[in-house]
Amino acid sequence: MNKMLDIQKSTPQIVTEIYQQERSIGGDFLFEYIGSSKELKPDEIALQMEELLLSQQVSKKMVRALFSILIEGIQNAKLHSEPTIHGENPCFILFGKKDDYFLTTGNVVPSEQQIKISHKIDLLNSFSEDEMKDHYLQVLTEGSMSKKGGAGLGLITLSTKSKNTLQYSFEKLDQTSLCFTLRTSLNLKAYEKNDRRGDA
Amino acid sequence: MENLVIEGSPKTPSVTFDASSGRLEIRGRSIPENSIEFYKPLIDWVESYRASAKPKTEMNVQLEYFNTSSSKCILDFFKKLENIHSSGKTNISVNWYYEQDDEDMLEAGEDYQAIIGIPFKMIELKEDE
Repeated sequence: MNKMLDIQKSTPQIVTEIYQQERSIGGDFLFEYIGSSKELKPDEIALQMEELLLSQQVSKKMVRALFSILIEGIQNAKLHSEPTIHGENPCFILFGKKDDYFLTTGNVVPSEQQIKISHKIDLLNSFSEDEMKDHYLQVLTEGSMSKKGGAGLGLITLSTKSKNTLQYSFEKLDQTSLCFTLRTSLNLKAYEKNDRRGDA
Repeated sequence: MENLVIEGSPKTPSVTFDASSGRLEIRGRSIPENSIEFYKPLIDWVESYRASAKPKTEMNVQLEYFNTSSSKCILDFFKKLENIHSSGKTNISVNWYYEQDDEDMLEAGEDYQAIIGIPFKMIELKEDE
């Protein structure tokens, strides 16, 4: 899937660069998008991905995890894409190489969000499995829904489902805006090994 | 009281709330970008059901996927049920269905069970169910 819209007018250069850079890595399996956030349909993309992976005999367990990662990753990028004079369009690339899958999302955020986002991800990356569960339950029970419909659980779910640390970076667009790049990776063997109930 | 019936879609579950039997069911996938719009009518219906609730109410939840936006709304929905249950208007029980080997969905049900003061029963679905 590749949707190239009128991106020159509305996509920040850095988002395009991230998209091209990630795309050049390639893989056996590729899903991608760069364009209008309004036309980005996470549910439709996830359903297409699910159908394709199942047809490739990928295990249902792995497909479920990737489905959640794709939905949360894209909805997160879409929900938090900030309009700027450089454009606002987000991008995502999902690719698979043998037992590894990688999702990269890129979207514009206000500069003042950098510390908050960094702190949040660093905290998640430092958690043990038990700490992550406690944190999830705390946010689920005590958090409130944002006006945009976010529950504050997207990054937690990306971290939990991937069973891996989240990689991120910020690139300065101007004095008020940054491009936030988030990379989530999932390894099939590590996923099966770390599964809570194993072969039980 | 009118029943609530909502047809399922690729991103929202089917809903069948039958006031006359006290049998409520949510089934399918729940992955809308903004779940509040979808779950508000369900929560409103349950609030109305309070006045004419059957002595026993069975809540069946059979979800394949739900996103984080839905997870918060589902919790709010369960809290509403809990409120009616603890008022003594009706005895509510939840049947939480999950596919065989879907440990994440089982765990999600156990999370709600730990938070909500309503009896939960975890029911594993075999592959052909």
